[in-house]
Amino acid sequence: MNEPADGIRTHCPYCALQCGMVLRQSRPGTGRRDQGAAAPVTVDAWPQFPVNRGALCGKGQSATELLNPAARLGTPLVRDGYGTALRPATWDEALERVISGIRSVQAEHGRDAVGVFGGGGLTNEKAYLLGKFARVALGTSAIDYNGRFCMSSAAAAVNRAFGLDRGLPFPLADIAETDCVLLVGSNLADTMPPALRYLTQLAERGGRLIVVDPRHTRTAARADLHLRPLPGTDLALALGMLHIALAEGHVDEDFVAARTSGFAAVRATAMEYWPARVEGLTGVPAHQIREAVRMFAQAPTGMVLTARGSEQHSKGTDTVHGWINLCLALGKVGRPLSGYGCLTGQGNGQGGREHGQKADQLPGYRSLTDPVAREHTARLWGITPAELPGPGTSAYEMLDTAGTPGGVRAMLVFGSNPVVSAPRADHVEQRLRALDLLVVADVVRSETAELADVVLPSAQWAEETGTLTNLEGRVVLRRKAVEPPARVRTDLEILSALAARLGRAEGFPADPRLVFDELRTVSAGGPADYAGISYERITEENGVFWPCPADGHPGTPRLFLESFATPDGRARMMPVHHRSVAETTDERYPLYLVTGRVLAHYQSGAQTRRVAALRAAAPEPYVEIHPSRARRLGVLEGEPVTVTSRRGTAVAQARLSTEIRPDVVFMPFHWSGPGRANTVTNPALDPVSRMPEFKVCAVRVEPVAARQAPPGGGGGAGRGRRQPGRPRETGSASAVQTL
Amino acid sequence: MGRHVRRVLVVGCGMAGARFVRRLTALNPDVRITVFDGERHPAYNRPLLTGVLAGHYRSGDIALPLPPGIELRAGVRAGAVHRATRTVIDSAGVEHGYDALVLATGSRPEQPWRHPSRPERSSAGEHRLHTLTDCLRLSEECVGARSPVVVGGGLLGVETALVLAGRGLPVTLVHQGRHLMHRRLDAKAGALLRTVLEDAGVAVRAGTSARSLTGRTGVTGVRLADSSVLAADLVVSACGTRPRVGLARRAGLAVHAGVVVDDTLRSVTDPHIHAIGDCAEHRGVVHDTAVPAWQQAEVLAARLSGHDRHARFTGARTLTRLIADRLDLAVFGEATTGVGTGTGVRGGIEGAAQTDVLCLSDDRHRVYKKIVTRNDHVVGGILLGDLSTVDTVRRAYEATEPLPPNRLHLVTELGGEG
Repeated sequence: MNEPADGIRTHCPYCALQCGMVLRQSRPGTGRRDQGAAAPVTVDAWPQFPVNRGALCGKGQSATELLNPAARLGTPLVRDGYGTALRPATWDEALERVISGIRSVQAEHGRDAVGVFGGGGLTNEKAYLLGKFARVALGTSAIDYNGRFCMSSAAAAVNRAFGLDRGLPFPLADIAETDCVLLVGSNLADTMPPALRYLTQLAERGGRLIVVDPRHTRTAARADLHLRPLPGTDLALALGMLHIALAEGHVDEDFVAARTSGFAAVRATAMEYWPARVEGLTGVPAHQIREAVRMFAQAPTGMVLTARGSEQHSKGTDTVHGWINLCLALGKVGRPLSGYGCLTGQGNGQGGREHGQKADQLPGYRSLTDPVAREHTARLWGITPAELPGPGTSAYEMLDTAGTPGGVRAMLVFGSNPVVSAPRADHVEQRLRALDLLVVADVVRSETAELADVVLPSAQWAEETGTLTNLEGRVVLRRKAVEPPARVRTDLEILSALAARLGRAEGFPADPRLVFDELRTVSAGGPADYAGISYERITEENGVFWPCPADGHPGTPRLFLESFATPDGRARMMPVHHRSVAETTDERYPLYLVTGRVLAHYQSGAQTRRVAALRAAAPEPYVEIHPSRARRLGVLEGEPVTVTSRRGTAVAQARLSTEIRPDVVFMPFHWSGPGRANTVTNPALDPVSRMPEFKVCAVRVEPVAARQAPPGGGGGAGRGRRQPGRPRETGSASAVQTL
Repeated sequence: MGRHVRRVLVVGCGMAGARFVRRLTALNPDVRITVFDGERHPAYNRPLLTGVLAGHYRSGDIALPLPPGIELRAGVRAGAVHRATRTVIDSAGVEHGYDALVLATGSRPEQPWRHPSRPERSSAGEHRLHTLTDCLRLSEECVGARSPVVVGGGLLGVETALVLAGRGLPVTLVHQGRHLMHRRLDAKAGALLRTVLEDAGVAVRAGTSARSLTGRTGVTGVRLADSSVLAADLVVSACGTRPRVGLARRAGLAVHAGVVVDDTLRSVTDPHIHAIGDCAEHRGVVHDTAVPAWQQAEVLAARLSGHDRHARFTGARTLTRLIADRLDLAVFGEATTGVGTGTGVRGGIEGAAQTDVLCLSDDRHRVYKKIVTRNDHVVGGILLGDLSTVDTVRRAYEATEPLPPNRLHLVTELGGEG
């Protein structure tokens, strides 16, 4: 590829900020960065891009290391039989294996027995084509994606409350201009460092920051007020705050009357959360709750921003409703510099949920159960509405039932690593091993790829073009900067080839621009309307905010200023009640485990663990324990400890810190093997969003020295599928100990 | 107790009764539920009554929701229980059968003085704050009161006095103990609490009891123990409550202070009769606050619905909290043990329980914190004025494991390792 004078403007391969960056080919010999001979590409700032204004975190700065051939897959791999190793294969052989496997499963078990598991990191084009591939080429209802594990609770609540789900209803930069931010369950100083500047500017302007987090994170350290609730009690806190707002007369009665519905029922529920009770439920002193209410309510403008800490619960949807209700009661939504927002996690967590890889959705954020939407989409796809499958099961349910009667028998995984990222991961690993066919398309040889029958090496961010929609709802364009390795194909090429071999030569183009044009047409008239967005406009305008229904439409940076997207234009207040976490502590499992991310790594770590600088910064998993708890447990700093729940055991070094509550321990979830946090986590699902309860489960912590045998669990990589003698878990209640 | 509970009869629809009914319906909609609600207002949230008096809530706001489909008998009381036939005769003479009878009759306020002629009626200007009816009447009649007096310096009396002062009234609080809340607080905390009240505009008369009211048609004053009369045009008595157990007693159930129940909340006398809330006595304790009442209601609903037949109530270690604009107080367990009286001061008798007291005070800022421990467990304490460590203290009080050697974290956030 020729090197333009100013390099290639593109976006980071990681999180939902989608920071702008410029990629430049290093001239041979100048070696601006030592990337190895095969990846002479450097990352530079793109100061004009509004989200990050040139700032990048360590992950973004080191992203080109992923282009190194040593870090990535370079050729298709197939497995010849159970227990044998993956071996290199030609594309033709690999694709034929996939097709014959699909056909035999379909013949024996029906079309729904072939499942598709997508990812929130896929571009809009890929997410769109993947959904179409599943429903048209495979004819299966079984498609969902790892975004179910990300922001599905917020999405469900926002859809119900506002009629439209876009992570932030305003540009990120508005955060700097508001008067008070209530940040719930987000450690953005570590997870989205370039966004921190907006909190800094907020503070410089005299705006206030309230952080709600059980841990005293680097983000919480910047807060004017830090509330530390027990894990799983955010909903009680939100209700308690609304109670105080009602009692002290902070409610914006005019706003509530003019722009909301359902307030009477919400007020009645909030009455049951008086301060003394809420203090007991949450552990947050009543005077701090009152201080937070006053700080937030008295600010002329304010925002509530939630992230996974508040959402990844079996009551995540209701919890988000709790926060939205608070915003609405105080009139802090649907006005300039005010609103509720969800800090989406994955790179295309927003776009990925809009274009049809979700079990119940069609492109444009249409509903798969809406007859009008089915008719519209089927017509554009050249099939009848009757041929369009109905909604399938959610991500965890698909994994949980894989290889069982009624579950999928074959699974195609694109851009996801559920062996590390799914809850109760030992069990998920066993389910994947039980499949007749597992196909993984990925950039790297992930832990999930290690279990596959066929591994398809796909191109990655700098090697292909495509759009993503960041957490603001801004559609951005990643541009191809380098050629992928010779035997690597793009996901679109893979889908196109598979569709052709399944008899669908038409309708599955491999050119991203053609796919995007089709997406625009299909999304037109839907809630997430991309009709007026083009690659050219994105380039000229530094991204375009959806909805953008026509070429001349300016896009919509700020939503809901006039009315909400509900049928009556009013935001819906939903009466919700607090309930206990799915798994409470007891004598055997006396502590709560919370999980989360660290600065140097991203999600399952499949990418970042392959970058030397990031590996050096955070080489290993750890268990954060309060020193007083550690002393009682007989645990010393740096010593290995086991963290055991009813589902399994993880092992990692103890890290002593007073930043965590003594009744809680923390583990980052980026690692596989013995240190895999998700071996321990609880798959209890939210009844609405089907979000698993990643963020809290009951555990016990012991020094490894105190145990008799080294722990098992999670060490399955590379051993092939269907290992004889692997224990089979039968249910979460059976307290499986794989020791 | 039968596995097939089809008809449940609930006597009383206060905090415990209303919660129980709601949970039972949610867990098993097939159970037929009849509720006798003796009060004039439908079920409401009693802990919020002082908030209604303060103007924080309208009376309609504090209603407790009741599920549809229950048979609610408003204004009806239970007259008699016939345990042999498992029937209850209501105050209108109607007979009701039951598989399970739940007594949630609550408590009644103690009368500080006798009214031989009209025991049930109050004179003009004479008030209490036990029901919503009481509250609304007081709220209306206290307007313009020139010399309001609150009798009883316990939790409710202190809170009521603060609310009346907050409404701009020149209120006097009369308390028979030597210091305020003398059954719960030690002298130091009581004195500091008095200062806080005086700062808020409440005049405090401690160490003297109210014997009777003066005035023939309306209240003119309170006659104190020394026979002096404190002028008063409005008197609120807040002299504690006692469990309402007449029905249970007449039915021949075991009653001490409250209806004696086991961990399943069953009467120890009759397996078909249960008691929850203020009228129940569990392991020798009458829990007279809302949160334990709700816990009991949930346990009983889980059992009677068939949802969890093994659910048990094993007691509640709750902090009594008083949260007002100018006062923040938590008191729990054995809080009156004096500083220096702990056996930990000088080696006690070998093998005897070792009681220690940890104390911190800041008179200027009206802060007082005290933690009583026995054998390295927190058994009681007081936090007044600075509740920053309330969560740590609560956890320590609830915990089964012993405390670490360093305990300053219980009283100060600078105390290090919680």
